[in-house]
This record gives sequence, C-alpha cells and structure tokens, in this order.
Amino acid sequence: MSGCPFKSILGNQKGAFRLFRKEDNHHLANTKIENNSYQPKNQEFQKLLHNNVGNQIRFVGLSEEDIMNLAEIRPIMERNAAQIVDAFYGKLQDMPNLLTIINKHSTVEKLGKTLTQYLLDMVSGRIDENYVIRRKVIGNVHNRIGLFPEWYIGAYTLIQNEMLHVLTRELDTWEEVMKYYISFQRLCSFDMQIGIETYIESYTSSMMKLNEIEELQSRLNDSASTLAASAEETTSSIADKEGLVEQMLSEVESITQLSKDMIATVDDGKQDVSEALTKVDKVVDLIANTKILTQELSDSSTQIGQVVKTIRGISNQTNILSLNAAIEAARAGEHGKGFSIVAQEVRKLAHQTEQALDHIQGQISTVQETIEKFENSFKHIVDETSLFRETNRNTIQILEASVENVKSNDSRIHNFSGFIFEFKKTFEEISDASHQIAEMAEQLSYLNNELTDKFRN
Amino acid sequence: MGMKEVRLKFENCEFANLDEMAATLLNEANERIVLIDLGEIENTREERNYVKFRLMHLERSFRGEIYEGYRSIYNSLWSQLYRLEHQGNDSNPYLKNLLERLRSAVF
Repeated sequence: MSGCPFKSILGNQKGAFRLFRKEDNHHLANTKIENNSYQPKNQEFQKLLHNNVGNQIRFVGLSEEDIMNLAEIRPIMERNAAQIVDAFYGKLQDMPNLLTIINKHSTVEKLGKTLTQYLLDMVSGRIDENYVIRRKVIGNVHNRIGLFPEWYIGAYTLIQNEMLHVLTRELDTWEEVMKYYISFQRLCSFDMQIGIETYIESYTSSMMKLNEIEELQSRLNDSASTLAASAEETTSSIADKEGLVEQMLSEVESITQLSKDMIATVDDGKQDVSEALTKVDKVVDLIANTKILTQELSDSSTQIGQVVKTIRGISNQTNILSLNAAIEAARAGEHGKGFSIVAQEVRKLAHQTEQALDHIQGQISTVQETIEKFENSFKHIVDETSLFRETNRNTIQILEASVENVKSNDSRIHNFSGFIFEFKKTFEEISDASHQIAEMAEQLSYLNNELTDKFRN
Repeated sequence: MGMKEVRLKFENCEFANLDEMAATLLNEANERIVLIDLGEIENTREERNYVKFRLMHLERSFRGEIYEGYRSIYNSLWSQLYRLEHQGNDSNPYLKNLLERLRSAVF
C-alpha cells in the first residue's frame, strides 16, 4: 500500500477515504507537508533520477540543490501563496472560456485552495515518486475537463512571474533572487514536462476513445460469458429434458405394446367364449333331441299300457270263461272231470297273466316316473344353459367394449407418441441453436482477445 | 435535462432516479479505491476499470455536467483513479508504446 499522495493538492476536495470512511483518515496523513526543517531525501530523488523521468530531470537541470533551495523558501511561499493564487485567478477573470471550464467542473475558490497546496508541495523538499504521480494526475485532470496545454503552460508563466515578484520583494540580493527563482523555474519546467506528457498520453487515449473501447470490451466479455453460460445451461437443461423425453417415449412404446398384448388377449378370450357358446348350443341341440326320444319312449310306454290293458281284459274274460268252464264241468260230473282240470289250468294261466300284467304295469309306471324325472332334469339343464348363454353373451359384449376402449386408447397413445416425437425434434432444434450460441459466444471471446492483442502489438 | 435519454441502469442494477444511481455508483467506486489502497484488492486494470466504468457511466448519464452536489467527490475519484493508474504503472499497452516512441524522439 502506498497511501494517498493527494492530501497536499486535493485537501479542499472530498477524497475517496474521507467521503465514506471517516475512520480511514489516517491514511491520508502520511504525506503531510514537512515543516521548514528540511531533511534531504536524497535516496528518493536518486531513485527518480534512475527511473523513466531521470532524463527529464537531467534535461531541465533539476538537482538536489534546487530541491534544497526550494525547501529553504518554504516560509516565503507560506506567507505569499495566497497572493500568488489571487493574482493568478485575477488574471483568469479576463478569460471567460477558462472561467466557463472552471465553473463547469469546480469553483475558483476550490481551485485556489488546490493551487495553494500545489505551490506548497513544490517547496516541500520532497520530490519523489508520489510527487511525480501528483503531477501526472494534473495532466489527466486537465485533459478530462478540456483544458488544453497552452493554458497549462500559460499558467506556469503567470505563477513564475508572480514568484519572481515575491522573491524580489522578500529577498535582499539579486543573487539570492536568481538562485531561488532558477530552482523554482527548473521545478516548474519538470512539472510541466510531466504534466504535458501525461496530458498527451491522456489526450491520445481519449482521442482514440480507449476508455470507451475498454468499456465495450469489458461488456463484450461479460456478454460473451453470459451467453456462453446461458447456452451451456440451456444445453444441459435440454440434455436433461431429452433424457426425460427418451424415457417418456420408451414408456409410451411399452404402453403401446401392453395395449396390443391386451387386445390380443381380449380377442383370444372372446374367441374362447364364442367357442364355449357353440359347445353349449350343441348341448342344447343334444338335449332337444334327447327330449324327443324321451317323448317317444313315453308314448311307447303309454301304448304298452294300452296293450297291457287289452291283455288284462282278455285275461279277465279268460278267467270268467275258465270259471264258466269249471261250473259246466262240475255239472257234467265224471265226464266233465278232465274238462274241469283244463278249466283250472286255464284259470291259473289267466291268473299268471294277471300277475305278469301287474308286473308290466309296475315297470311302465317306473319308466314313466323316470321319464318325468328326466324331463324335469332336462328342463333344469335348459334353464341353466340359457343362463350360461346369456352370461357368455354379456361377457362377449364386455370384451368387445374393452377391445374398443383399448383400441381407442391405443390410437390416443399413438397420437401422444407423435406429439412427443415433435417435442423431441423441437428440443433437438433448441439444442442445436444453443450450440450455435455457444459457438458465437466463443467467437465473440476470440474477437475480443484479437482486439486486445491488436492493442498490444 | 432530458430524463428519457438517461439510462437509470448500470450492469444489472436499476435505479429509481439519477441521484440514487450517482450516490450508489460513487459509493461503489470510492469503496473500490479504498480497498485497493488498503491492499485488500490488487491494483490491476480490471479492478480500476470497476471504478472507471462507473465514473464514465455517470459522466454519460449527467451528459458531461455533474450536479454540483456530486462534483467534488466525482472529480476527486477521477484523480484518485489517475493516481492508481500511475501507481499501477500498467497503462494501455498501445499508449505505452506511443509514449516510449515520443520519449525516444524527444530525448
């Protein structure tokens, strides 16, 4: 840290430290002007002689002795600085253009104080690097406010004239006047050299708009960085989203496949149910056929019943006949004995026939009961089958509706899939654009570096 | 002054009025100079540009004529900036080159 070398010449203005940080004031105090007990700063001056202002110092003939001489007249300067400043600004009153510049950027009063500090700085006995920097700043400031070097040189002439008046008045001999005046003049010349050189540098800089170019470069750099960062962010974000889209597409494909499988399964189910229905239909036909056969059986048994009835009638008549034959045989006595035996046998046969007929009748009743049971069972089977067919028909309807729904969903998924493809395409386009932006940012950066290189070469 | 032409924006900050912008930018510039002087921030062109761009922006915003209330600090900050430039001893390379040629022509 070098401290602030401005205290002496900008004491009247608010310095950087003093505006916002009162506690930092001590930083400004380290260049306070020494009192007139002069301590030579040979080393500092020697250092100046060996750096890039050495030639200028030698050119104007400024020596350590001059610096010592000037330090000796510090009391005179302290007494007369105000007068020199008044005379100087008195002359400026005749220059309206200079007053305009002064009033635009500061005030005569403030500049008067600055000039007083400046004059005291000249007789401080410290001509070092900071002193040179303070002079350089004057060149910069004059350029910034549009004060051209002729006025700068003219100002030194006025100050030197005033100084000559002061020295003539304050000193006893002409030799003394000349001794101190020449030292003062040499330091003025050195100051002018530094100031004008910096002015030229500063003017060249402003003429070439270097500050503006530098500012533009900085903005360009910022923009390029922002652009690159933004492009990178976009690309990365798109890459993330593309991954999601890919995943989405894969999911959709999987759903589509599942949907197709489901349609196939439902179709198979429908087929199975249809086949089951066909089989049931066959069973129903079979039942119908069986029912006819049963009816035929029933009819046959009824007919057998009729036949049995007829035979029973015949058997009854045979029995009556055998009874009549037995009675007649009894009447015939001995002659009818043989006939009586025949009649008994006929009676027995009629009786046996009766028994056989009872048995047949029983069998027919059993058959008819069985047929009736059959019929009831058939009826039950037919009812159950009808219910089964109804259920199957409903199942087929549900399956058909499901297939329709699945097909409709499949179509929607297909459309959605198309939409995602479009989405993906858009992402790819944005990604391409983002890459192009990143390339543009890189080119901008490159152009900016080229510009910087052009300054350097 | 034609307020519509004044951009009350610097970098990413927007300001309600010229006064607020001036106070903020001058304060920031001042703080930066203080930090450079304290050695907490290096005295490089980039860091000085932080100050310079703020002052240049104000100069444009005020159309070259800074309000009297800010003039003193504004002038002072420019001078402090010039001092830092000379202390940093790394002015624009192009200018440096020109100056060397000028010196060799004179001496």
